[in-house]
Amino acid sequence: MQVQVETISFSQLIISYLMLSVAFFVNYTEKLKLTKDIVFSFARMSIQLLLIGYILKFIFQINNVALIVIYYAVMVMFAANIIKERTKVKFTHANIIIFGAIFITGLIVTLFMAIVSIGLKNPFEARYFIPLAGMIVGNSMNSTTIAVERFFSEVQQNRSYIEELLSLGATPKEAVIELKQKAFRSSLAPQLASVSAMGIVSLPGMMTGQILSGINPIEAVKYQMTILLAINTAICLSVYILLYFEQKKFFNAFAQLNI
Amino acid sequence: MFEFKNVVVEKKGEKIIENASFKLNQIGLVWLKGASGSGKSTILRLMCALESPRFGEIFYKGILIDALDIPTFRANCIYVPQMPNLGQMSVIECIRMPFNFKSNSTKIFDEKKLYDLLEYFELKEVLLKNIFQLSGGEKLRIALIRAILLDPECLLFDEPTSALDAKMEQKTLKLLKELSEKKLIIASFHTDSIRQYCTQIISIEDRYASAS
Repeated sequence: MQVQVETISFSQLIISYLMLSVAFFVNYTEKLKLTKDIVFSFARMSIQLLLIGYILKFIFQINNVALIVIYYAVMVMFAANIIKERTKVKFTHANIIIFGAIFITGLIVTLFMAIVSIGLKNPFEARYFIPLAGMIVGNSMNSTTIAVERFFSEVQQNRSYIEELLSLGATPKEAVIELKQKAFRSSLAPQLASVSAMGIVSLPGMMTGQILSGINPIEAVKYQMTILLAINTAICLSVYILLYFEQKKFFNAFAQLNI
Repeated sequence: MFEFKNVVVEKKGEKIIENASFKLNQIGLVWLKGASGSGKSTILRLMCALESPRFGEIFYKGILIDALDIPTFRANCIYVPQMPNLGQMSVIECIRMPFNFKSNSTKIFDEKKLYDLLEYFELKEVLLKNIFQLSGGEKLRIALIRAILLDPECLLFDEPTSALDAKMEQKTLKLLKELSEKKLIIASFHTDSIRQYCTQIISIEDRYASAS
């Protein structure tokens, strides 16, 4: 299916930036003192997106598996770093564990979607793999951040309760199972809520994008459904793996609380 | 049952116990004696492996504690702290909960014994209440009942009578004495009236712990 998309010319793009004048005008009349912020955020956005646009164009042209995997690894590295910074959880080998969990689950789920759901002959086709993996990794990042942070704070707040259970013969796993369930639930809840509002409250981004580029809405919907399933799978797997390792780090070899 | 050999405990670089060396009998009621802050809770926590000593060795039935499967060991040697944290659930759920642990899977929940104990501790009416509705003394008694129901080889109690009135204290001491005819009970007490019941004493003085 060959579809025609209206392209945006360079001059049209420049003119579009005139829309920012509304922001400057509001900022001026209401004395919001946001001039710097407006300039900085939009400049930053423009540079980042242009840069990524050219990088993607380059990668799509070469369409080389090794290059795509490297791009994917860098993306996961950034995600892992954000998780580590936002959770402020310190345990040994945290970098490797977080990176590994996101990398492996993202890879498996993206490949499954590419091969089984879409039926691609080459699952590492750049224009499929990169955007799909991006959405999957981005969502895993958000959910694992919630899960890891929540589990950590629950354990910290419930030390005496955990020790109570340990001293009644509970294994470390049994002693924190309730807290782990709480963390797991709270990390899955946002996606479930947004999935159930899909189509009514908002049109999801990927679907909107595909419709804009001329794809039949029914086809776009099918893509959207599969990506939501894939994201859910990736969230479950990555949260499962990370909570498993996090739980181990809470205890030493003698089943004593470590933190 | 327990043997401490030159046990040293350090917390944040400060010595809590300089030397603890003693040997305890198979059964009996052991009075863990010492001023407040002398490290009584620490000794009890060492005995159920919630903490490990900096130096020295602790043996249980002649085996180094570190070499045992810790959850199984703890199920045989239950510790009840001075202010137990029982979580947020109904009292009956709280009492049943540890019976679901793998290491307690062979133990049978004795409902008859539960009712007898509730009656003895004057707690019959609390069974369907939630933990957060209980007073400190009630929580402590529920924790004692739960530990007794689990019927371990050894019970470790930190000030089991501190939150109780005089009458309840005497009843508790009597019950512990009775239980100690078949198992080892190690408990810290502030009251001197324990002296007539106890079979052994561990005293902690100036960070040295020994038994007589």
